[in-house]
Amino acid sequence: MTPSAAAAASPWWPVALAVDVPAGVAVPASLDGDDVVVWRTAKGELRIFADRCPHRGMRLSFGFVRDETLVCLYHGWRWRADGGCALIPAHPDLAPPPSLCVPSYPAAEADGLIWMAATIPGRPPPAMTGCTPLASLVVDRPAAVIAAAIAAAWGAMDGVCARLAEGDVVLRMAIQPVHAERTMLHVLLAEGDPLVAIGVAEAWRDRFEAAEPVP
Amino acid sequence: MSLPLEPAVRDDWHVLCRLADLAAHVPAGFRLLAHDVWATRDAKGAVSVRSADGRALPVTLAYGHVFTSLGAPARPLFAIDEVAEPDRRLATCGAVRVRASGLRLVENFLDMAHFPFVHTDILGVEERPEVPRYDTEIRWDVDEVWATNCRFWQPLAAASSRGGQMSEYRYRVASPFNVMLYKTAPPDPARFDVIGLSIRAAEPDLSFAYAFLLLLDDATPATTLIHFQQTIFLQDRIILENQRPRLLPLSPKAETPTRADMSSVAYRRWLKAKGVRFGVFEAAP
Amino acid sequence: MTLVLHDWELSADAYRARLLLGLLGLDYAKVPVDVIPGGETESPAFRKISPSGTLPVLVDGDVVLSEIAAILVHLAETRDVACTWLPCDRARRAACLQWLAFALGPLRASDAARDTAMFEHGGPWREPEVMAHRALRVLEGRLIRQALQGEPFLVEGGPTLADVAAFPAVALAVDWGETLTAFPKARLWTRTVRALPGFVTTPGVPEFL
Ligand code: FES
Ligand SMILES: [Fe+2]
Repeated sequence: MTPSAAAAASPWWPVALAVDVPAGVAVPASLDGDDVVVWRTAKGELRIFADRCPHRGMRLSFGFVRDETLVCLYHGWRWRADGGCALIPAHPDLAPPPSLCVPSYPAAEADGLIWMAATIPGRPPPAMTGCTPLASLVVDRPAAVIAAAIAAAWGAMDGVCARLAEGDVVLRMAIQPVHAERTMLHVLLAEGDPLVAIGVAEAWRDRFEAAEPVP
Repeated sequence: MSLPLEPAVRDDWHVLCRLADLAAHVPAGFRLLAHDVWATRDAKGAVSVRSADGRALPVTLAYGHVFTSLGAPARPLFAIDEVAEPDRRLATCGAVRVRASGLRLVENFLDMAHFPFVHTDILGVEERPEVPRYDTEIRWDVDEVWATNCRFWQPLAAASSRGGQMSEYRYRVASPFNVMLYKTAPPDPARFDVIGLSIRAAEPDLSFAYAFLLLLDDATPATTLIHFQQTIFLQDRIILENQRPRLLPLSPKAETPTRADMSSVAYRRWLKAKGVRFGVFEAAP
Repeated sequence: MTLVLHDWELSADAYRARLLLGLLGLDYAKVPVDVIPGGETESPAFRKISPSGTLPVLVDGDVVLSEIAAILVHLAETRDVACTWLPCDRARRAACLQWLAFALGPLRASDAARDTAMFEHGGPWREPEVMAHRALRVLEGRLIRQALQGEPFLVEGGPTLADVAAFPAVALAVDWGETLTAFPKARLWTRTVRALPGFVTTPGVPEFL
């Protein structure tokens, strides 16, 4: 299944393991070449914004979280969880206009994964019930190549998700197309020893990287 | 294939390298405005610059650097009168490579609002982020952009600072890729240190920044002064490499200026009026 | 315990290991690796014992080492009873470490020059960004495993020189455009290092860490 066909099947895309974005932290992610910042307020509320400050274009993922706002590194403009601007430090007395805001994306957390969508989807992200998140692994190949390799080896994917059993290990994976040449595999453990499982996942990553391009 | 260069950029002076970096008789190649050029210095110190097709290009040696032009400059290189003062010291800081439009570098240099966040505890503190109103003007008679009456509270304004000061700044954009600032000199608050930043725009989104200092400070070792400037510039570099788009948008709607950005607004307006395109972001039609 | 060396005759690093083994009078088994033209260091089997694909690899019972510095120090510490090769005297040890690091740092440019001179495409050498990305993957793999065991640092039990030596390369990778998007555990680890008492920063270390 190509990523666009998968998108039709599931409007949600995985962008990170929930444990890798603790409260008060902002991390960058890309989906099909679109850069976003995944962040949590100090209280732990999850948000996904476009990774570009409306002021002078600085990537917001270089900023930091202060209380319930994301602070841009360049001039310290503070962005609330609702996307609106809370403060322009150069003009402390000025109330930022309500029209001033960062574009944001629907975000959801489920079974240890963080998901994003382009528009508000009509249903929740795929369930990975009973799984433990293991790791996110980078693969320097297009998502379509990986989807084809998965389908050939493990059977058809369920949207952006796949399931694999090898030896005593059962893995679930969700794939994130980062850009034309890069994919992230978000790996969860359904059964087995975690240290053995990560070795299995890395071996699959290496096989995906060696996989032939889809004609 | 690149577009032909617009006259405002082609006929301007551009920094090529530090004079000290040219060894005698060894031609050195540089990328300038998406063209290859070659510079050579003879035993007597005279520098010649040639384009890839063998044309001899104009040369001016000033402020420790070699300046050249791909076209025919209508006026001499910008003058900084302070250079003639006997108690001024010149220090050159070398080149730093930045993957960003040179115009973004100039705009960052004009910006005070970032001091508390990017140069924390050096050029600004988070507790005093306010940018008081200042004046900007496009001086069409000399074709320069100026920002004057700029004030900002700085905990460590220069390598020689002993404590905080309310610094006074004057910014001068002498040409699209050459900018300088005049700043209260800690040893003598009645006079100004001069810090120049000249950009070699190698490609629209790839720049080399050459900073030079004309300072009144005669006590601080040159290396300390240079390291101070390099520290500041490396802090800026992380910003410059991560602004999106890498090229500078001139459309007023592309980004969101406030009153603190008056100098950037004037700079963009002036670039547009002059027809500058190199390093400018053009939205897809 | 027999020592096993995964070896390539033309590799300067492998020769360093063979040289010390010889000087210590140790017997060992050789496993030849077909680096050129076979590209065996890229194979999954070899990557199991050498995650970065570096050669030689020394196997000493449970200990598997693929970094030449670790191999030399390990052999000296376990097989050199007279303390000849890694002196115990503090001043001599400091000088020895200084020159060891030099030999495996600046002086290695000579190995690279030799490879460039000897092989088409510079032999096993690659562009620095490619090599750096590969090394970051290895670091990420280590940190994933450490995290699964509740260990936040590179070596169990707390921060060590390994973290100190690795931090600048990771934190300053932003300067060459690597924002660590693909390495979530490395990002978290930089925050942990940053939180250590006495931590100092330098220009280029991003605020987000
Ligand atoms: S670019 Fe974000 S605050 Fe200025
Ligand atoms: Fe700055």
